[in-house]
Amino acid sequence: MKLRALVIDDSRVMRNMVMESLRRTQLADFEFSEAEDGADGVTKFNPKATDIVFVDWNMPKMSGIDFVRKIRATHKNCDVPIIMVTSEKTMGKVEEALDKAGANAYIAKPFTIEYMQKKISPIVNELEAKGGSKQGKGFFGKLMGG
Amino acid sequence: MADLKTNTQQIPDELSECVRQSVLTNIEMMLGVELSSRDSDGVDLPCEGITGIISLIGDVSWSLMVCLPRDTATAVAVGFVGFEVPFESADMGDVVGELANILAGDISARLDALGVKAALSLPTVLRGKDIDLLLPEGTPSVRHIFSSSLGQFSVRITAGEPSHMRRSGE
Repeated sequence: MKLRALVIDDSRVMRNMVMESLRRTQLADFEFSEAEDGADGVTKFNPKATDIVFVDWNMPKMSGIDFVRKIRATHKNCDVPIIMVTSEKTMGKVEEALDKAGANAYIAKPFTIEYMQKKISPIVNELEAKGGSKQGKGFFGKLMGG
Repeated sequence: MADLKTNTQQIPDELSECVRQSVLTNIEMMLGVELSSRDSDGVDLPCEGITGIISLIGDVSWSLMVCLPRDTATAVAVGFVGFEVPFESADMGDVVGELANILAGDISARLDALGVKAALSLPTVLRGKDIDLLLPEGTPSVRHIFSSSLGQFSVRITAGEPSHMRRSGE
């Protein structure tokens, strides 16, 4: 399944690590776009062309948690999953991201491929059940005569 | 745990041990190498290299400094990202900043479990020779030196935030 992922981190090295880790999970055929901070992420986020978002917490200009709040507030009918990938791992932070801001999953750094696979797998399965990427769904729909 | 929040005369042993265990656990996990540690006994590790600094601010104000000599930084970066990162590149700054961030995040979680709340600042990374912060006299500070097949590096925890510290010449 093809998935268009937006990866947001102020560190180019970390963006590459997240993208490489996702490729290695082999959970989907990922196509990546990148953003350098939360504000850049808000600009680059397109609910019609983004299937899943991976966002760091601790960033200049706009933090990851503010990005999640902004997206959930401005795209109220958007169900694109947002995954926090962060070194912040106190219970309070996890609760703030998942329960209050509206992130779908929380991956604590440092992570292994297996750990990422375990965290992402249910979300990818859910997306697959919905028909994969919006682009893929349209194409699939056309093939099926939809 | 009140001592952890209120002791400004010295770095509490619990914090020092928290930092040591965090470095051992995370570096071994990330880089797959065995680490040994020792207290610096006041003797600094000579360091022409790169230093990541991050602050923990909340119930307490502490700063964490991760200092990697050039050769160690280059070896650690390969282990961290899986490819060579030139020492002079911006990516090397990313690696060391992220390393400091991961360690501080883990320390913050360990402190949280002890009832101490502290948020992380953004990391600052400096490259140069024998980088040090000149602290006001009596500022508590503890430094651990770690050794592995990738080389030696040091991690220092200091009371206060960098903005409250003196810089050279002041």
